[in-house]
Amino acid sequence: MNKDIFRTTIAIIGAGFSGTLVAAHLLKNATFPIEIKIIERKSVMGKGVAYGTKYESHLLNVPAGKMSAFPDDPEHFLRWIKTRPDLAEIVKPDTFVPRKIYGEYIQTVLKEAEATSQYGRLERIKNEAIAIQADRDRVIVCLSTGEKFPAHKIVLALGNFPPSDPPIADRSFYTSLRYISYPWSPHALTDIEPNDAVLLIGSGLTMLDLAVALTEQGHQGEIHVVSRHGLLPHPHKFTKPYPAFLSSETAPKTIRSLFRVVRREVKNAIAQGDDWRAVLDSLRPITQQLWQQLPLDEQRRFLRHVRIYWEVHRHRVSPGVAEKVATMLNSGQMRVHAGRIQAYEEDADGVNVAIRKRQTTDTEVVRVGRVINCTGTECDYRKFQHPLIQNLRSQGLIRSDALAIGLDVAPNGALLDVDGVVSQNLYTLGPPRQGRLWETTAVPEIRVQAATLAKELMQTLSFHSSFLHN
Amino acid sequence: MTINLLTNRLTLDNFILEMMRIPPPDLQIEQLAALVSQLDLNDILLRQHISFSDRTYARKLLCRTSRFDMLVLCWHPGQFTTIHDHAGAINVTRVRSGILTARIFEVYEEKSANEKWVRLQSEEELDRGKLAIVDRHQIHQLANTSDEKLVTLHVYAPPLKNINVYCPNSGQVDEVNLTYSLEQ
Ligand SMILES: Cc1cc2nc3c(=O)[nH]c(=O)nc-3n(C[C@H](O)[C@H](O)[C@H](O)COP(=O)(O)OP(=O)(O)OC[C@H]3O[C@@H](n4cnc5c(N)ncnc54)[C@H](O)[C@@H]3O)c2cc1C
Repeated sequence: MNKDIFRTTIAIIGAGFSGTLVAAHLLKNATFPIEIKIIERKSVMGKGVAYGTKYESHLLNVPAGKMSAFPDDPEHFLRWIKTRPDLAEIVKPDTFVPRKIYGEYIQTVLKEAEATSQYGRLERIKNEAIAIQADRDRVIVCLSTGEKFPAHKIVLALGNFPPSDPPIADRSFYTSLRYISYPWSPHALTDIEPNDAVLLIGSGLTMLDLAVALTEQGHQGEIHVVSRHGLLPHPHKFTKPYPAFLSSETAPKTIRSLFRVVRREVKNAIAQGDDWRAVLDSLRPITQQLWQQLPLDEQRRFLRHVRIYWEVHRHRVSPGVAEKVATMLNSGQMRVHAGRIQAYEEDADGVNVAIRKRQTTDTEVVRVGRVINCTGTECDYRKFQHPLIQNLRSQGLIRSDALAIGLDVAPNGALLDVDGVVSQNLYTLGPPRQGRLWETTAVPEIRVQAATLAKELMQTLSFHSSFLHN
Repeated sequence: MTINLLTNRLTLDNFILEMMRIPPPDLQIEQLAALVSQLDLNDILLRQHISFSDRTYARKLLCRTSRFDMLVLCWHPGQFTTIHDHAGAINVTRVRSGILTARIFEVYEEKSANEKWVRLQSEEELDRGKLAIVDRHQIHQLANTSDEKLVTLHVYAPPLKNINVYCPNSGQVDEVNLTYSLEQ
């Protein structure tokens, strides 16, 4: 009989950091023959949006010493750096390395796991997964070129989705070539005259990426930034660790009281000469627990009122990027507007953008040659038109979490169907777990999820495979 | 050097005039490509036809003459066409915004006129301003495999009435009649 029928197949859809790391763990730790098929629609595997950037000035926002792909081997990234003659001398544990270098690291991690794997076999498929069909104990993955193949388990590592266009009454400007709806487009910054003014919508990390990329290409023109609050991410600073002041048992279960406790602690810390960053960082080990023990209404309250402040303090920017932005602000090249865009008026040479200033009725008009949407990634799965998501939705195989900021998942990463039944063969990790965990998008969280998920897959399959082989 | 799309201006009207000057049997695919590559992609008429659809890519007829059809196609990430050929028409496609994946297929086994087995031969990614040139019987598939929305402009000469669709799983070839929506 054909031995391949008994081969266990795991399909991983998406080869960003999440999918690639699951594949690497499976290859390293397989204790029986498994076939791993990793499907990526983009021509580059292993980088995803975050580490696929072409700009040197796009730095990691976590220092090198904390960016190992493996939670149980914290020096792994630093050791890889040492093998690179161009980096070995300049990168220290506290260096913020360009993200594109990190992308090369992830690719090496996969290649090494593949080369040394005892039982695993990896197939890289450059294609788009468009549908999943259930077929008894297996599932069939369908690709856009018509091919299909069966798998015993599927990991949806779909990652980050593009931002939605900011709501506005007259949307006609959004069809203009002067408007870039997707900030990571390879064309976001092409065809801009060096002296043209540019408007960046949003003031978070994405906006900073675009601003420093403009500098990298020698842009001289004004950079306008507009967001509701006009708040920019804070820079990193090395601090001494702050002792834990909260535990999941002692923490209040409402946002208002939690906020109050943290604020008081920050005040005390500053009075003692400590930095507020250290106080926030001390919360990191329990953030997921704090989130999970909040009632749904309190989680909503957090998203509505606190999220914006949390993000600028928690997701900080590397000192190198912060310095560049400070220079732009001081020279007046960058101007930050707190407010909302009211209207666009385009003519042959540019566009006038009317901004209503926050908490006033004043409107300011800025004239620019290009407008780039730098609002954060969209995470409401009910909105996605992607064929695969539509297919999963229409079969009831997935559902959004209660806050609609990700997918509903069980603690082991298995997806919940529309009736809340835990899937036996569909799993996810990374950004789609946001509703459940809140903190789930950065490398330090995803690397743990990838290791645990690979173990979970292997355990459930080893039972399955011994059953098939006997 | 990248072409500055905002200063590249052959209006739609002038494009139509140019096309009407060339007698249909003489129209070479290179000529068509040269004209399409000069079109003003920020043209307001073109922009008015940009609209996306949830189930599949949206196809809007921009202009139909006795000699050619011009269409705007709008694609959400992940959307794609069937594997098909244009049953004798020549076609030039220009990327207006986003990245287009153009795949060419080859027949590796031909059992009959209605059963041809195809497989992927090559794949190319085309970005802003670039052209995909599809000759009379080339079998191909277009897709948006990027994360951003895609808008493409297509000219077919003569106007497309039907296409042949190839099924990679059954080998079956079907002739499919095309109808376009004219509403905005
Ligand atoms: C710009 C940016 C910078 C970041 N910087 C840092 C940082 O410095 N430090 C840090 O710790 N974290 C950072 N993060 C957070 C985190 O590392 C990323 O979010 C993480 O890389 C997510 O990886 P992912 O694989 O889940 O998603 P993605 O990287 O989005 O990868 C998903 C992949 O799936 C593919 N895909 C989707 N659907 C399909 C389909 N149907 N068929 C085939 N392929 C499909 C996509 O093409 C994509 O390549 C950053 C995030 C972003 C967006």
